Amino acid sequence: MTTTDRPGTSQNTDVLHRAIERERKARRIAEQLLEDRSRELFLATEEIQAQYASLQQTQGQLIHSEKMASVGQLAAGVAHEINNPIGFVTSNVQTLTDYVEVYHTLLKDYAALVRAHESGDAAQQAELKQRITRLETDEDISYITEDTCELLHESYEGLQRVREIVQNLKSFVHLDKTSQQLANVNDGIEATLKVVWNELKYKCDVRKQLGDLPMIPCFVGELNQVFLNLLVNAAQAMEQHGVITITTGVELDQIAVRISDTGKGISREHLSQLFNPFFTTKPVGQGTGLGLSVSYGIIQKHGGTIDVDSTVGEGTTFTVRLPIRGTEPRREAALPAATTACPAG
Amino acid sequence: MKGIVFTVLNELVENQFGMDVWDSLLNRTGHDGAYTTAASYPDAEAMSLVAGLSAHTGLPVNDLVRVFGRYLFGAFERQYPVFFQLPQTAKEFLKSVDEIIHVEVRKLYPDAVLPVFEYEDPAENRLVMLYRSTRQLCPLAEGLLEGAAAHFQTSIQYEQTKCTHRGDDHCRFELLLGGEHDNN
Repeated sequence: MTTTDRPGTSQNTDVLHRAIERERKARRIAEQLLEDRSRELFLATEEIQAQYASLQQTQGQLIHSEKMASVGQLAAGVAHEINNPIGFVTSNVQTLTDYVEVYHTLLKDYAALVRAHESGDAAQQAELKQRITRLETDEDISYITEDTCELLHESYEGLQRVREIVQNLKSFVHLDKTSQQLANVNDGIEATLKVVWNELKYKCDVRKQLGDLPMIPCFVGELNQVFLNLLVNAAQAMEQHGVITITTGVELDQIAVRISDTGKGISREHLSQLFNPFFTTKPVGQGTGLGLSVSYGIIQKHGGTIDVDSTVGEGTTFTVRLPIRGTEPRREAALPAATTACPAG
Repeated sequence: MKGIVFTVLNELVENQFGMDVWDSLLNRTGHDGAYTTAASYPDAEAMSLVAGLSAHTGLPVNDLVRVFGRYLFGAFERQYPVFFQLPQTAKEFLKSVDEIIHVEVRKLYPDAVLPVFEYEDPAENRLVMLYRSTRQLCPLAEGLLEGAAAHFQTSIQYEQTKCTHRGDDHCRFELLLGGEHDNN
């Protein structure tokens, strides 16, 4: 009997004790359940974190492979652009080598003539003069002289073109710029156009309506990758010779870039999947299906939006909007989830 | 302090001294006493309960804390059998406290404030445990060591050669383990 017992039988006290014991047991079971659930939750969270980390790694690899694909595409275009001038410069140098040979022979004969003149050997002089005249006629020396100037001029132009291509490529890629720079989006578009020109020139006319733009903080190389993607897609969408129109301008506190084509357009069911990773209508092996999703990520990282408007049979317009005052760059530009519909789709 | 300290203290007082003692302890200290292992409570609350119990029983606080530590070990054994199922010696068990048991505790209670143990292993039957805790509860560590000795049916003689209460920056327990039986 304890001091807290109320008057009553010891049977009542026993009942009370048993009731308390039951309550305690119930509490312990509940606490145990809570701990078990906490442990399960912890393990599940751990597993999800591991999966998330591995997904992030995969995503990084995919973005890298898309970049490599763009680089491959670029390299093919650039190789073609450079090959042409290199081809004619090589041929010019070969011809010039032949011309130099002729000049060498002539110079030797002229020197011999001078020596014959000094020694007063008239017969030798007459023979050499005849030989020189024959050589000048046979080789058409006046043509060679004229052509030498032309070939040198042409070769110089060709080498200038190669230098320009390399410079364009450098300003397009902005390899050295890993942080945000103040840049004019119009310059980025011009640089991209130069690089991608080889892909476009036989397929379409390009019309530019570039408005006055303020400088904005951005990753120039990455934005150029987006423009490259949109321009190449536009060119590929046009089965016959068409027109790509590039318009830039300021709309409220944003810069708007519109890239329109007169291609076949995108069907309604494809529109909603356009920015999804791996979505492509190109044949197997020709498109990674990552170009637009990577572009989406880049524009998101800049705090902007990318929208699409398309009519089947008439063409497609992509609109990129970028905030003028820029944004704090996010460390990871996420791929849009597979279920995300495109913003304008 | 984790709720289990309070629920086990409640159990100990009720079993050893009676329900009325626990009840009057709560009345005197002003705590409501509805403790659950899932929650945490202020350290001062545990200290005031032990101080109250010391006043009631006339036993020194440190003795009570040591007895409580021994009792707490038994409660751990009942509540967390998984840590006691492995075939291991008392020494292996003591060495697992910091790297296994406390790691598991943090999974369930990320906010738990746990003591840190470091070890020196000078000989097969010896172990040095360095105890660091802002709570400076070395008598509790002593009680837990006694509980471990009882569980592993061995003797653990210890000497505390450093103590934060004497101005050291940690407490140092030099253990001599002997006569242990396999707990398989």
